[in-house]
Amino acid sequence: MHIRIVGWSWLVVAVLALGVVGGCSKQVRYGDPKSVETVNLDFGSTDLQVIAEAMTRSLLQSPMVAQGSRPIVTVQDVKNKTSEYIDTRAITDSIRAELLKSGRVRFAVDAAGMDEQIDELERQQSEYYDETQSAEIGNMVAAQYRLQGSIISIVKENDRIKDVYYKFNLQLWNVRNGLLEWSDEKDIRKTES
Amino acid sequence: MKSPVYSLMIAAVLLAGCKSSGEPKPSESCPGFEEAGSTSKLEQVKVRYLDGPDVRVAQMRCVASDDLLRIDVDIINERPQEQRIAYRFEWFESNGMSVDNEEAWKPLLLYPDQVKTIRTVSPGADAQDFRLVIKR
Repeated sequence: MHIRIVGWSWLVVAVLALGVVGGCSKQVRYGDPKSVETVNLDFGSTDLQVIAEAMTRSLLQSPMVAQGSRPIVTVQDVKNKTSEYIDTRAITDSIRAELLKSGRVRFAVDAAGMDEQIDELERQQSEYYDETQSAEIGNMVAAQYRLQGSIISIVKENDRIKDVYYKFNLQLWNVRNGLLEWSDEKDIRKTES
Repeated sequence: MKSPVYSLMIAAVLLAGCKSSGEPKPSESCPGFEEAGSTSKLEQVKVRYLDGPDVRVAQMRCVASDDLLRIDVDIINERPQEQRIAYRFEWFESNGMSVDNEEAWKPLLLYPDQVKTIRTVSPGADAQDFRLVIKR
């Protein structure tokens, strides 16, 4: 009789434990990658997407791009002047992808990709390649314009509210004469209370 | 004696009237206006509301320049309180196929009874038509 009671109690504990574990397990679902993300105040996917889109559309209307000569541009760094880690390369990659899709801008290899480009050019000079099909050294096309920018943030908080203001600035510089040909800004305010 | 002068004045007034009536309304430059037939019907076709935002499109303006379509849309907050919505434009080629670039939802804060102008430009020359989607 005593053994039977002990056996039942273990069974009840096991069922309860399973219920608790089952209740705590997290559900995984796919979401909309373009939806408005407000998990916390940190720089997020919506900020990245909104900034990239605003800069791209503005640049498409600039005289340098709108005149249809398909200028050659290289992408330089966007300086992160905020207090948090932001992969600014992800922003410029999105801008570059959208501009390329528009068919109105061409991109020259940038500083970040230069080592890989030189390595490939030098590799093609080896005896393993048909030299009539190999890319010759000295034919790379230089950029006419360079894109660079910065992102800053102003953070303020009190006991009840935390406010973050981001300002993203992008500039298109003429490499030959050093003139600033286009610039635009996008600002974002987020508040947590 | 005065009749030729009056005739000229009447003719001038008529010409001026004809000129002003001949100018297109802002929404008439938007793609699909001819099929829709009126500004209100154009807005029914071009604007889609998801999850019942308490807003209304008051006016829509389109200008084509440099193979791009520039669009202004005036949105009215119909609430006497602040309202947070999100919106995005969907773009289509002239044959109705959707353009590859799917826009991000853009959050927008509307103050009580505010009329806010949303501005955008098409992502490329292949995007010739659009739809505005507004959600709560």
